[in-house]
Amino acid sequence: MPEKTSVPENVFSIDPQVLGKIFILQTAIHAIPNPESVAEFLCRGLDSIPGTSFTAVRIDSFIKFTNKGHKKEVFVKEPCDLCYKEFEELKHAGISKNGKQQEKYFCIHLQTINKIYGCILFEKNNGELLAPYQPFLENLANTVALTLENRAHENSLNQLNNELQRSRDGLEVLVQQRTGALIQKNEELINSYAEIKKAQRASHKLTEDLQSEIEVRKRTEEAKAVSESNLNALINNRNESIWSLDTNYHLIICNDFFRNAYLAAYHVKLKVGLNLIKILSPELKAYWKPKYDAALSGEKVSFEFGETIQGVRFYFNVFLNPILSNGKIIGVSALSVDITERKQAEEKLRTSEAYNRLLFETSPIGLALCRMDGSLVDVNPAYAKILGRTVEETLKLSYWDITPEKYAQQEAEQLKNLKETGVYGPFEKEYIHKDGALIPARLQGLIFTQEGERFIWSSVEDITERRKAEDKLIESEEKFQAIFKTAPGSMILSSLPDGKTIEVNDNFFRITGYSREEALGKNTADLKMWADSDARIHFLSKLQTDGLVRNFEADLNHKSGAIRNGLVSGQIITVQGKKYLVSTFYDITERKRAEEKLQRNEQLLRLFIENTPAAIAMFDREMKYIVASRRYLTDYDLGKPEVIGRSHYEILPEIPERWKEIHRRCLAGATERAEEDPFPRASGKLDWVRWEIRPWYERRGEIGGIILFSEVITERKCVEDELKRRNEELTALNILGRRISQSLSLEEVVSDAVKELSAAIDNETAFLFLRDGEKLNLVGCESKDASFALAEIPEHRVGQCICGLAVSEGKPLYSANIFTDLRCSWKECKRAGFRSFAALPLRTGEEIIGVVGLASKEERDFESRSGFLETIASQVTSGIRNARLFTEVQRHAQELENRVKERTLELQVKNTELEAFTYSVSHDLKTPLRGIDSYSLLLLEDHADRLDEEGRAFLKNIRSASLHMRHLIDDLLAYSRLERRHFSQEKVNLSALVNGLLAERGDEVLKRGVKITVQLPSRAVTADPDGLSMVLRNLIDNALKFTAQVAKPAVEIGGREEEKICNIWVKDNGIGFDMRHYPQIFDIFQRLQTQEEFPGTGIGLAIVKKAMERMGGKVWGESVPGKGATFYLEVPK
Amino acid sequence: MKTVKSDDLQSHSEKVFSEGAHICHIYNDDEERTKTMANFFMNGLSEGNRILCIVDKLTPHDIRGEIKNLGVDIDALENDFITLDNETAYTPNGNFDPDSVLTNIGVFSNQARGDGYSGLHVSGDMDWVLRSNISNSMLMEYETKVYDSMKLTPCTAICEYDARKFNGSLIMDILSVHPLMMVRGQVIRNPYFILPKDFMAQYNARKN
Repeated sequence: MPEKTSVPENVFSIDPQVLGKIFILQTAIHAIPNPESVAEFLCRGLDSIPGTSFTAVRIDSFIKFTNKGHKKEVFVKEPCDLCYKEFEELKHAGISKNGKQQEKYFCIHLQTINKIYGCILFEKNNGELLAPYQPFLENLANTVALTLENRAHENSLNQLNNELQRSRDGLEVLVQQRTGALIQKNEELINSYAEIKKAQRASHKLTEDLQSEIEVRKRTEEAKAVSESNLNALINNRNESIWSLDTNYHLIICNDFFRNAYLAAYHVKLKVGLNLIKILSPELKAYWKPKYDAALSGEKVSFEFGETIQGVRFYFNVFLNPILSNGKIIGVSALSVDITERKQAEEKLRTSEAYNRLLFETSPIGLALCRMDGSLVDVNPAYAKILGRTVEETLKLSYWDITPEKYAQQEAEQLKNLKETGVYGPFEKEYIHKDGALIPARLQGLIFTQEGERFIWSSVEDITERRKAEDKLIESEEKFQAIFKTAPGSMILSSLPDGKTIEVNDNFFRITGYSREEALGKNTADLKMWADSDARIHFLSKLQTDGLVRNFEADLNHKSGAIRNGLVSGQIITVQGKKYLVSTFYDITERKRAEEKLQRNEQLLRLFIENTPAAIAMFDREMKYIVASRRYLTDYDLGKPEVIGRSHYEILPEIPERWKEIHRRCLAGATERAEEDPFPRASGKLDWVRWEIRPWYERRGEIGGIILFSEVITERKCVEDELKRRNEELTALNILGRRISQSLSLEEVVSDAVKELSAAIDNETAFLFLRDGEKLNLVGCESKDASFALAEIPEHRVGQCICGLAVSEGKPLYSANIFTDLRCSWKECKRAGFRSFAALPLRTGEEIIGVVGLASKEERDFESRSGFLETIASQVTSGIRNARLFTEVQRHAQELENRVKERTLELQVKNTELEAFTYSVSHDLKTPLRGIDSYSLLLLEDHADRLDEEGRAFLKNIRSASLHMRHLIDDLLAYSRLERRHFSQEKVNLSALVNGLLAERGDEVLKRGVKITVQLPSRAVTADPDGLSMVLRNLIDNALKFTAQVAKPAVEIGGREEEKICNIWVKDNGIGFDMRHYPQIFDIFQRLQTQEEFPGTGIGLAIVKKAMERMGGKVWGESVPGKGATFYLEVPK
Repeated sequence: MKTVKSDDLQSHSEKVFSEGAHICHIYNDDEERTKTMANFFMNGLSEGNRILCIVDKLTPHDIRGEIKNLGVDIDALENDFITLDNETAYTPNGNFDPDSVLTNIGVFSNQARGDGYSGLHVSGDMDWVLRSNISNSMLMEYETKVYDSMKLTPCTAICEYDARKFNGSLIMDILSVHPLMMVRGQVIRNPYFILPKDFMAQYNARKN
C-alpha cells in the first residue's frame, strides 16, 4: 500500500555499520538500568555518527559528553530552548546558547507525549553526512524516551506498592497487637472467672467439709462422751483411784473414787482441766510434781504414799505411767490403790500366819510365790483368775508357761534386776490366759527367803480395763486432734462463756499470725482480732441466739496489722454439759483481690474494646453481645451501646442465613475469615469489609462464644484495584512494547497492536487506520464480536467522523455515547451496536500517520484511561515507524547489494578482458622483441667490424634492454597466469623443494661465499608444488640479490609447524628496507632500489603475494634498513 | 519469543560461527537468556563440539533442563557438556589471572580436539565480576586477551553480561572488544568492534 514515509532520499549514503550501531542501541537500551548509565551508553554508542564531531546526551540531571572534539563549550539549537530553560544542568555543563552558531547543532529530544526526559545533541561538521541518519536517531530517541517513561511508571508503581504494603503490614501488626491484647485480656478475664468459681467451689466445699467435720466432731464428742461415760462407769466401779493428767498436769479424767478421795482430803471438787499440781500445798506439790515429771519423761513410776486424812492414816500404792500417742508422751495415767487396810492388816497379821493367808487369799491383787526357776509354789485366787484358771491348775504351771515369748528379754532384765536389788517392777507385761488371749498385767515383786531357799514374791494386777479405757481416751483425743489439725481454716476451741481459747490448730498461726501459746487462755477481744468490734458483737449475739453462725463475712486484724478478709463460722457445742465454742475463720483475702481484679479487668476489657479503633464484638453462646467497640457500632449502624446483653439476631433480624451458618460453625470451634467481602449499606453504598470470627474459650476449654473482628477496607480496596489496573496497564504496555520492538514487519506490528489494544480494553473492538493522503486505510481490526465484519467498516477519510476528526485535529477524541455525539457522523458504528468510542491519532513529530479506534458496545469512559491509551498509541506509532523504516532500509540495502553485484560483475568482465589483453600483449610483444634481439645479435656478430665502439656499445645496450624486457614480459605472463591457472593441493616436501632451488643457484652461492642455513620441518605441507616453488624461488633470488653488497652474506631458510599451518621464512642480512614502504612492496612494478643497483622487474613480490593468496596462504615481511629482511609464508599443513 | 531471521538482518548476520569466534551476549531477561544459551549449546552439540559452560547465576540444572526442553538428551552427553563454576574457572587460586584462565581454556580446547570433537564452545557467565574486586581495566585487559588467545587456540567463546547490572559505559567497552554479538538469538557482526590493540590505546587515553 502506498505510504508516506520519512525515509531520507539520500539513503544510499547510509553506512549499514552505523545503522547496525543504532539498531543495537535501540535493542539494548531498555536493559540499561539507570538514567546515568543510559546516558553513558548512548553517548558512547553515538560517538561515531557520521557528520558529527561532538555528542552530548542528557537524561534528567545526568549529562555525558564525548571528548571527540575536545569541546569545552557547545551551543544549543533553537528547539533546545526548552531544554535550556527547563534544565539548568546544561548550562553548568558548559552548553550555552548562541544564535550565530546554532545551525551547527542538531538536537533530538527524548520525548513522549507526557514529558521531555532529555536530549541528544550533535555538533555537525557535515550536515549532508548526518542527515540520512536523522530519522533513525529520532526513532532511537523515541524508544529511549518510552523506555524511560515505562521505567518511571514502574518505579512509581513499585513505590505505591511498597507504600501500600507498608501500610497494610502496619495495619496487620496493629490488628494483631490489638487482637493479641484482647485475647490476653479475655484469657485473663476467663482465668479470673475460673479462679473465682474455683474459690467459690472450694469455699462451698470447705463449708460443707467443716459442717461435716463439725458433725463428725459432734458425733465424736458424743461418742467420746459415751465412751467416757463407759470409761467412767468402768473406772468408777473400782476401789482404786484412777486419773490421768495432760502434760500440763490438767486433769483429763478420773473416777469417782479419786474424786471423793480428793474431796475428802483437800476439800476440792475435781473437774476435768483442773491443774492437779496447782491446788496442792507446797509440800505436796514438791512431792508429786517430780513423780509426774518422771512419768511425763517416759518413766513408769510407782511408790507408796501415805497421808493422814481427818486424823486417819491412809496408805496408797501409786502407779504413774506415761500416756503415749504416736510415740509422743501426751500425759500421765495414774492408779492409786488404797493399801491402808493392807498396811494395817500387815501390821496385825505380821504375827499371824492365818491372817496372812487370809490376806493372801482375799487380795484383789494377784499374788504368786515362785521359785527362782519360775515354778509356781503358791498363787492366790486373784492371780489364778487373771489367768482364767483355778488355783490348782495354775500351780501346775511355771511362770514361763504363762509368759509370752516376746517378753523373754524384758523378763531376763527384770530377773537380773531382781537378783541384784532383791526387788523388781513394777512393770507391765502380758500373761497367757487359758483361752490363749494375752492379758495385760502390771506386776512387781521381791525376793523372799525361807529356810535358806529363795523365792520370788510377785503381785500382779490385771490392767485390761485400764488399757482399754486409756486406748479409747487416746483414740478420741487423736481424732479430735486430727480434725483440729487438718481443718483448712483457722480453728479455735474456746470455753464459754469467757471465750478463752483452749486450743487452736496449726492454720491459726498462718492466718492470724499469733502462736498457740499467745492465744491460749485469751479470747479474741484480748487479742483484738476483730477489726470491727460491732461485727464481733453482732456475730456473738447471732451465735447466742442460733447456736450456730455460718460464713459471717468479717475483717480480722492479722498480728502484723494487715487486714484479712474472711468468713467466720461458729458453733456452740456441749461436752459433758459444758459449753464450748468451736469457731473457724477462712481467709478470703486472695479471693476478694481476685474478685476486685476481675472487676477491674472486666472494666478494662470493656473500655479497651469499646474504644479500640477496630470493629470488635464479643458474643456469648446465644449470640448475645458481651461487649462491642464503638467502631463496631458505628460501622454496622447499630448506634447505641444498648446492644449489650441482646441477641445479634434480635438486633439484626434480616441477617442472611449465610452469616448464621458462619456463626454456628465458629461456635462449633471453627475460625473463619474473609479478606474481602462486599457489604451493602442501607444507603445503597457498597462497602468492602475484611472480617474474622473465632471462638473464645472458657477456662475448662469449652467454647464461651465468638469474637468478631472486622475492618472496612473499601478505601484500601479502591487503592488496590487502582494499583491492579495500573499494573495491568503497565504489563500491557510492556507486552506491547516488547512485541512491537521485536517485530520489524508492518503487518506483524499492526496485528500485534490491535490485539494488544483490544486486550487492554477488556477485549473490546480495536481498529487501526493508516493514513494515505486524505484516505484512512483500515489495516487491522480485533474484535471479540464474531459477527462483526471488516467489510462493514466504510472507507474513512481525514476530517470525517470521529476517527477522521482525530487525525485532522491531531488530538485524541473520546465519546462516551456516539448516539448523542455530533462528531460521530457515520452510521455504521451505531448500526454495529457500538456505544462508546475513542479515536487516538498516531503522531510522529508533526505528522499524523494514522489513527487507532477503540469501540465498546457498552457505555464506557475511555477518557478516564486516556494516559494509558495514548501511551499505547505512542508505542504503536513507534512500532509502525520502525517497521516502515526497516522495510525501507531493507529495500535500499537490497538495491545497494544488487548494485554492488552488478558492478562486481562488470569489474570481473573487465578484469578478464584486461587479463586476456595483458596476456596477449605480453605474448605478442615477445615476437618483435625476439626479432630485436636476434637482429641485434646478427648485427653484432656479422657487422661488428663496421661499427665503431660506441655503435657496438649501443647494440649491447639494445640487447641488454631487450633481455630485461623479456624478463619483464615473462614475469608479467607468469603473474597473469597466476590468475588463470589451477592451483592443486598436494603434499610438498619442503626440504627437497628448497634444496632443489638452492642447487639452481649453487654456482652463485659458491662464488659469493653466501652462508646458507636451512632448517625446515620434515613434515610435508599442502600446496601447489609449482606455485610454492615460484614463491620460494623469488624470495631466495631476492635474498641473494640484496646481499650482493654485503661482506658476509647469509641467508636463512627456516620453518615451524603449528597446529594447522606451517610458517616458512626466508631471512637475509642484506640491505633491507624501510617499513614505511612496506604497504607498497607487494604491489606490481614497485621497486625500492634502482635497476642499476639491483636489477629486477618489480614483479617478484607481487607474484609471491598472488601465488600465496591463490594457495590459501599468506605472506608478510619485516625489515630494518641495513640489517636484512625476513619474509614469512603461512602454508596450510 | 519471536526471533528475527538472520536473513532479515542483512549484512549484520552470520549464520555459522567461524572457528575462533568471540561473541558478546548482553541480556536483560533471564528467561530469554536461558533459551538463547540453550539454543547456542544445542547448535554447538549438533556440530560435534564439546561444550564448556561456566556457570554462575544460571545453574547447571537450569541450563540442562532447558536443553532437554529442546529435545536433546543431555544426560546421555556427559562428556560433551561440561559445566564449571566460575570460581574454578576464573579464580582457581583465589586470584584472577587472565593468562592462566585463557591457558586453561586453551588446554580444554586442545583436549576437545584430541578427543575427536570438532572444537570447543565455551560460555562464561560474567556476573561473578560484580562480586569480585577486579577492576574494569583488568576485565577489559582480559577480554582483549581472549581475542588474541583465539588465534592460538581457536574456540567459540560467548561472554554473557547482564545489562541490568553493568554500567552503560562499561557495556559499551565490552561491546567494543567482541567481534561478534548475540542479538535476539542471532549472532551478528558487531559494528562497535575495534581491534584490541586500538581499543586498549583508546581506553588508556580515555582513562588518562
